[in-house]
Amino acid sequence: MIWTIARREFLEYLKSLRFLIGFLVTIALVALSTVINVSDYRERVSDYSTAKKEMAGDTYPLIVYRPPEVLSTLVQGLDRTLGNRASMTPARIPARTSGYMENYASQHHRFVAGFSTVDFAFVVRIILSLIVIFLAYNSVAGEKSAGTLRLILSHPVPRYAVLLGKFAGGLMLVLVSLFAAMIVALLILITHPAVTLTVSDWIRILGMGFVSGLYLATIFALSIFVSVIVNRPSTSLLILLQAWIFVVVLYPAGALIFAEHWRALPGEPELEDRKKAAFQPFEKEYEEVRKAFGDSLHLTGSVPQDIDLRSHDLDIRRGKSDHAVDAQLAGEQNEQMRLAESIAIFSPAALYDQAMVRLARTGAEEFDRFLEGIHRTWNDYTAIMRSFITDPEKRKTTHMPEFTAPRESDEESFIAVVPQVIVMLFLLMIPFMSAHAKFNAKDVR
Amino acid sequence: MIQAIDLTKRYEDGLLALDHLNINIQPGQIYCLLGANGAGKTTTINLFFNFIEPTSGKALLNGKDCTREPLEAKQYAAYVSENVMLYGNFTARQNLDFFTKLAGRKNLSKEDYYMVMRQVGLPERAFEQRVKTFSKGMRQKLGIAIAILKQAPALLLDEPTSGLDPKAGAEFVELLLRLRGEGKAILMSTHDIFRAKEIADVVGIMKEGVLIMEKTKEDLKYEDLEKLYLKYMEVS
Repeated sequence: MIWTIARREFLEYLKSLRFLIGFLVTIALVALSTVINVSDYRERVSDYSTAKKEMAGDTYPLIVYRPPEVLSTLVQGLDRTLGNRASMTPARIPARTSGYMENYASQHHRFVAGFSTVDFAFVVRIILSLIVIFLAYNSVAGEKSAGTLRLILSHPVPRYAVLLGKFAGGLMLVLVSLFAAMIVALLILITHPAVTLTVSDWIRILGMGFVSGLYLATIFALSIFVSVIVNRPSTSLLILLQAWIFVVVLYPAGALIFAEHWRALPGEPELEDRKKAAFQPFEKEYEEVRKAFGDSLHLTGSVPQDIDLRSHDLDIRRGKSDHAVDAQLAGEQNEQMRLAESIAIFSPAALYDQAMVRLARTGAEEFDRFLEGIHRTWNDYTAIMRSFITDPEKRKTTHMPEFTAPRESDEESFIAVVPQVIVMLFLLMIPFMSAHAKFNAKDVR
Repeated sequence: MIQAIDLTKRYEDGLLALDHLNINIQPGQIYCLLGANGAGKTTTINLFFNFIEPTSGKALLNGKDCTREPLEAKQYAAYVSENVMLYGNFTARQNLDFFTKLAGRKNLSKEDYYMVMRQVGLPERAFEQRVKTFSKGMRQKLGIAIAILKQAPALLLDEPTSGLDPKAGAEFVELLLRLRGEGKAILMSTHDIFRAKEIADVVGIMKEGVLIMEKTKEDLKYEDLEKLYLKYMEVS
């Protein structure tokens, strides 16, 4: 019974012009954005390799890089904007990063400028979710106003089966569209020479497909609910479009603005003041040692080892002192982000974004891991630099530590998205159950 | 087969649409409900299919309570509305296939559908045509085909001939008579006094939710239904 209704629903949607247009737009956008993002990825990989080669052997400052994330071709997230290059000295543990090199090709990628936010995740979040609304808005209201619902319900069909069949049939078509879009994106990826997907990437892509399907199902359930509670398809569409704008655009953006005001972050001058205050007890000694260092160098052309060591140790102290302030700021930033995420918990779009960037390893967490890696490397780096002072011969034999950007394991990423998946399941179940309750009591005069 | 016992419906806005209706339609009998708009004819049919719930009383199909056991009750009745609405993007056969499956009948062949469509008088060219191109008469015939394929012993028709041209109306009546001959119990609401007199075994006149008159075919041999109808309508 459910299958009969689902099949009819599937075929009805499939024959509709609104689906055909939406499907073609989806495929075209996914293809175009993936081609552009893969091209951008290739430029960034090339910049990464060149920069690593050019900076090899430099110790002051020591520059480390993070390779671009291959799944940023599907979900850009923050991979491009947060930067992949960090420059460190004993007195500076970088808390911020930049692009690979200012003049490198990927910084001036001409297409990306106007297309920077369009990727597979964007197409699902915006375009496919809109298609869902345009398909489902009249699933019940349309049949009621057309009169076909009465004919259906004159047969021995339970009302839950009608609703479930409509949901299953519509969702099947949406999932077919999603699958087709994924196939197109993946074909572009696997046929591009710059892209190599590992087993881990494929597992993550499967996870992204699941999360995308779940997100679209929540939007479908919401649409069915609205279609049940109103009697006119035009009213249903109007309500759903307004709800879509609120849930997908206004609510997540509002949550962010609220969090930014509620937990305001200190500005640059305040940070500088904090750093100065933290280092204040050592400032006088630091100045004296710097002066002695400079005088020795100026007068004798060399620096006595004890002054050099004291200078180095004070640099490290300064680096740690500043880093403590930066770490505090990072903590405040994380609190702000968590607050925004908590407020936006009822937005399927916000949950979808959070889960997708986590699975694609293009979120803020990945950037935090990069910074943690930098901190660890800085510890090794300062120890080696100190050993150069006590034993200058070591300069010839000791190499700087090889930096490998730490990455979140698959297990960690999948566990991290469980809360988002659970909340999305709730957001799917609640409107569907409400639609069921309402539909059961619905008068189909 | 089709039975209403003190069937009453009062809507949320206080309107008493049906007031203690009692009817009993036997197999092989056509019962025509006459009445002006708002008399309660459609409400009666709505209650038999559980489209709405009664305030009190019972609607029974083959002894099954339409409110308490709606799915079981619906197995015994088929429905044809004033304006049969079908899926326009599907062909006549696809529509038949869908609704027949909902009725619980499976494994019917294309030829089975064609046979029923011929039986109701649909032209051959229409079998695989999209329903959105159909006239009202053709849609009504397809509605009857759906009802026939359901193989239910009772038929409830809500003003099925309204808006049909005379030829289509006559063909429709012929079909109903054939179905009566097959032993179906038929409840038909209508405005059409002449059609009612022509086919009904029992005629009921409703006014403001109340069945104010019930006459058998035998009674009507000696009375003018039109005059009776007008007389009852004038009585306040």
